[in-house]
Amino acid sequence: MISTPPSLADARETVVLEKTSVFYGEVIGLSQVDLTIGNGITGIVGPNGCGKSTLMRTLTGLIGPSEGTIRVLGGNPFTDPEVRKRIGLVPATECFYEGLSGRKNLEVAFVSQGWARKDAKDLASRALDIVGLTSDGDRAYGTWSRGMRQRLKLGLTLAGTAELVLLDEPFLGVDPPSRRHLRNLIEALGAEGRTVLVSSHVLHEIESLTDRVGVLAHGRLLGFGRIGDLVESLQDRNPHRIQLETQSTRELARLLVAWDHVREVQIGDGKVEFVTERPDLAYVAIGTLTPHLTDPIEGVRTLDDSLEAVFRHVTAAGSRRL
Amino acid sequence: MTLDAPGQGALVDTADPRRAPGGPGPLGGKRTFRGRTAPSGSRIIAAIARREILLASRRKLVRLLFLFSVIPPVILTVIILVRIFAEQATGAKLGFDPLIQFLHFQAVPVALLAFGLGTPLVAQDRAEDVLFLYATRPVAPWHYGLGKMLAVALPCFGLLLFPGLLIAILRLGITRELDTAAAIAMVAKIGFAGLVVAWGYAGLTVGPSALTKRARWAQLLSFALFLIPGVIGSLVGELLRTDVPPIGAGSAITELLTALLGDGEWGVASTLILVGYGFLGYWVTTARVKREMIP
Repeated sequence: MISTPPSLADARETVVLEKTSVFYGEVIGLSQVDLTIGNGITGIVGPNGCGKSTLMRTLTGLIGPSEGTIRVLGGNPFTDPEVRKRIGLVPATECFYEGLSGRKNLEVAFVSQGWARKDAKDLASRALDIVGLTSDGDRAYGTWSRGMRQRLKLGLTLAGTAELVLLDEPFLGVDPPSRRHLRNLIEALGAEGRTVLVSSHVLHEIESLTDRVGVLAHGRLLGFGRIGDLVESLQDRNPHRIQLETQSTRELARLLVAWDHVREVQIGDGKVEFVTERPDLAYVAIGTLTPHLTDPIEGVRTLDDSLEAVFRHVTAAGSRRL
Repeated sequence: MTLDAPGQGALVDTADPRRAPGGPGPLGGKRTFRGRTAPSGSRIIAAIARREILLASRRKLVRLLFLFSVIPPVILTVIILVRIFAEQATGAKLGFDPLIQFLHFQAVPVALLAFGLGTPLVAQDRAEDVLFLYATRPVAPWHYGLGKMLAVALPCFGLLLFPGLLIAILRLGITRELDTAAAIAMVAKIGFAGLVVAWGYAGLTVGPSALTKRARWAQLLSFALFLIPGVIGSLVGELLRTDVPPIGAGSAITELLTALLGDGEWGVASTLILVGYGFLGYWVTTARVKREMIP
């Protein structure tokens, strides 16, 4: 488990989970999660069913932890209503009435949140303005595109007073132009000084939003930190794919197969790909190969240097604790 | 990109800039809109109840049922006024006091109103997939459940209390046959009965609504809950040839009113039965919301 570097934890620790577990009967929702999040944007990535939604709903106070402690904005959201009113959730699921206009839906939502009718109207106008939907605001929500719907949900939180904003799969099914718009809005939220937690399985979207990421799988936080540190650390512990370019592909493959830490070798046209469990040893050893080959090694490419690759490895590893 | 729309009242971060990093105090500072922080949970409960009552008041059926619920007190008023004037004209004491009968009678249209108000409440939210609207500013499931229950219980309570208030006013104002203390006691008794019955009605209509996405099914279930326990209670009583506690809503209401305003032995049992129906409906609703909102 990668601990949060001191400089990474923002001065204001908005979310602190310590050995937090959530069980649904015998099913594990979250398992022994340690997590500290400060202001700005933080991403949580993981495959479907990994515990992202459970984490989100635990942070909103909808679910109480079965074990461990949780502190959000200085209190426990499960027991402290004062904390809950400072949290905003943008759920992955639909939450608006199809038959009402976008504006009316927002008004209903703000009224349901307890705002006075006049405030609700003004907040709805403000929300539409922020997410750039003023001109469509009076059209029936049922006729809106997926991207517009997502933006409207985001507007509900953006216009409100939430200090901790939880975005559950905000990019799900959203077209590219809307994605850009959403990304800008989320970045603006983070720049405002709010704490924003974005969950997604669209990894490159998270990478483009923040360099702080937690990787969840099977309810466990497999890693948390800066993407670069995370990739580096997880690479040291996970199978790692490397591509070498040479014309002596068969000779090279024979040499690679002899290494203890190499698990898989594939020969292609002028290149050899292999998977190693010890990338640190592999990179050193690659330098010693050329004298044993008819043709030199002309290029080395690390195929697993993205979060996507690390994510694939660690989530495939399942419940194995790193 | 800025998030402050012009002229809409900027959000203000009241975090103390001098606060030491990681220091004590509300973390992140409180954000406000026009100087106000986000509303509290109790305001949300009231907002949910108010909105549902407002929406229901736009439905023709509910308006009709409401009018139907107001008819008995109007008839009651006429009867009492006629009695008063007859007594004043003849000097004779007629001794006819229809209060209990009318409260019984009043309970029927109010039950129908509860039926119209309560059965679509949760079913529609689930059918339209808008439960998460209430989680965007996270509320506890009990906030939602209580808000929906109050949307049914409050109008029912008002309508059940209405005849009692009317009679107290008429008796105090015109005939002066009651002293103030007796009038207050009577209104308090009717108020208590109204609270218990309204809460029971809310449970019997909102609870079934949480069990299905179709309001029609909720109506059938609610109707069955109103009737079947009473029938079972009667059958058990017949079989055992003894008095059994009023387990049906109708008989519980009758027994409660009789015990409070006349001479009945099942007052406590009736109260417990009706309050139990209320809590059962409330529990079913919050459990359903929890289940829908928790993955």
